[in-house]
Parts: sequence; structure tokens; C-alpha cells
Amino acid sequence: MTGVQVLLRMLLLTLAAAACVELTAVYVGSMRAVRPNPRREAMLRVRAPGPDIGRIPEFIGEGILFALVTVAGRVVFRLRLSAPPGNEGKMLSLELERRAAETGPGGGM
Amino acid sequence: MPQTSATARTAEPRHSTPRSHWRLKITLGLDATLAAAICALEEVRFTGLVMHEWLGIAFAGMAMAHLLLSWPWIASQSRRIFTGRRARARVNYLMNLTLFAGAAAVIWSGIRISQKAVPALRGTNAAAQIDWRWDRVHNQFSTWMLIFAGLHLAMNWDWALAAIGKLFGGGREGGL
Repeated sequence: MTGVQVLLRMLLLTLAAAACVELTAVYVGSMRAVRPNPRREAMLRVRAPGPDIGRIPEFIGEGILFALVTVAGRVVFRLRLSAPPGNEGKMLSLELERRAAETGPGGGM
Repeated sequence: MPQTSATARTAEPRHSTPRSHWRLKITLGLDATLAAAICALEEVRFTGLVMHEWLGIAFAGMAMAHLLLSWPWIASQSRRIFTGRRARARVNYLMNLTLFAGAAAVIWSGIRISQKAVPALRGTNAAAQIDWRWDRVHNQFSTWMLIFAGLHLAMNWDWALAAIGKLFGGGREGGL
């Protein structure tokens, strides 16, 4: 993979992202003006700029939520999107006639 | 967090070269970092505003690297999306597209409401007036992004397990 290829791919991804951003801007433009929520504004403006280690439980909580979504998705995708087994839709043959012919009348008992 | 298509995965040699081993290591490390970053970015009070904004900018770069590493999959699936018959491939493609669009929206809205990082990059100390509509979009879309990222991992769970097995010697190499 050459540098030019990488740059070209990055350009393509940027263009695709720009298209998504443009659609988001259209959505934002259609929104009514949002009055600043005083609580949220205070949080944004006065929010402690540094990390707060005491908030680790919240971070772990987000991790748990992420894991739960993954597990739920795993279950759903396994149930709904897994390829069907090869014998699905085919009649199941017990081959009773062949067995009877092989063993003869009353055979096998 | 997929890196290669199913075809590309199976096409990979059974006994990988040191180069492909390194690539796998980088890819898996990047994916794990992205997952941790998504969780950290969701909790601004944990990271603080400054780290949240810089981490968000770093996240954009990491997401770009993730997509570049996944390019074989993107290229092959984009060609096949309208002709392929497998529902799983179509669902996976649409889900990844949604995740991409959501990430683009979250990153851009984050830039629009940035109070620390973007003004610092511009060389100005004064933060721009916040457009609260972008703030709302940022919050709404970031929650959806966490959900879609979880589903993305779920869809590529087998690949992730196989990659971990290959790197840490637990077997399950067949999926790669």
C-alpha cells in the first residue's frame, strides 16, 4: 500500500464524513432554537477541567453498558443472522425401511 | 471492530509472518483503545472537559486508522452490497455505515461546541458561543454511538476472539 493510496483513502473517508456532517447540519438547521439549560450550561462552563478519579464507577458503568449491548447484540445476531445448518429444510430420513430389509422380519430385537 | 473481510481473513496464511502478526497486534490494540475511549468519552465528569475534548480529537484519528486498516473489507462489501444475498453481510454493512455517520456527527458537533481544545488549536483563548442545538445533537448521537459500537463488536465477536487467541496463544486461529 503506497502513501498515495493511503492519502486517497483518507480523502474518500473525509468526503464521506463531510456528507454525513452536512446531513447532520441540515437536521440541526431544522431544529428549533434550543434554550440553554442552566444546569447543563453551568456544567459546561464550570465543569472541572481536570479528570476526577472519584468518577471511576461511572466510567465502569459505561463499560458495563457497552458490554451488555455487545452481549445482547451477540445473542440476537446469533439467533437471527447465523447461516442455517446445511440440512435445514430437508426431510429427515430414519431409514426404517432399509433397516427392516437389512435385519429381516422381527430382526434386531 | 473488524479489520478484514471474511474472504480476506480466510485468505490470510495459516502460519502468519511477523509482519501480519504485528499488523494484527496493532489492529487489536487500536480496537481495544477505541472501545475504552468510547466508554471514557461518555463520562465527561470522569475525564474532565479538557481531556474529553483532546481524547475526542484523538478518537477521530484512531477511527480513521481503524477504517484504513479495514479498507479491504470496506472495498469488497461496498462492491457486493447490492448483489450479495447474505442478510448478515447487509446488516453488518448498514450498521457500520450508521456507526460511521454517527461518529462523524458526534465528532463534528464536539468540534462545534468545544470550549478548550479547538480554541487552543486555533490559538485563541476565547471559546466560541455555544450553539445549544449542536450540544443536544452531540449528547443524543453519542449515546447511540455507544450502542452501535457495542453492536459492532457483537457482530465481529468471533474475529476478536480469534485475534486474541492468536496473539495470546489460546488457539481459535481458524477465524482469522
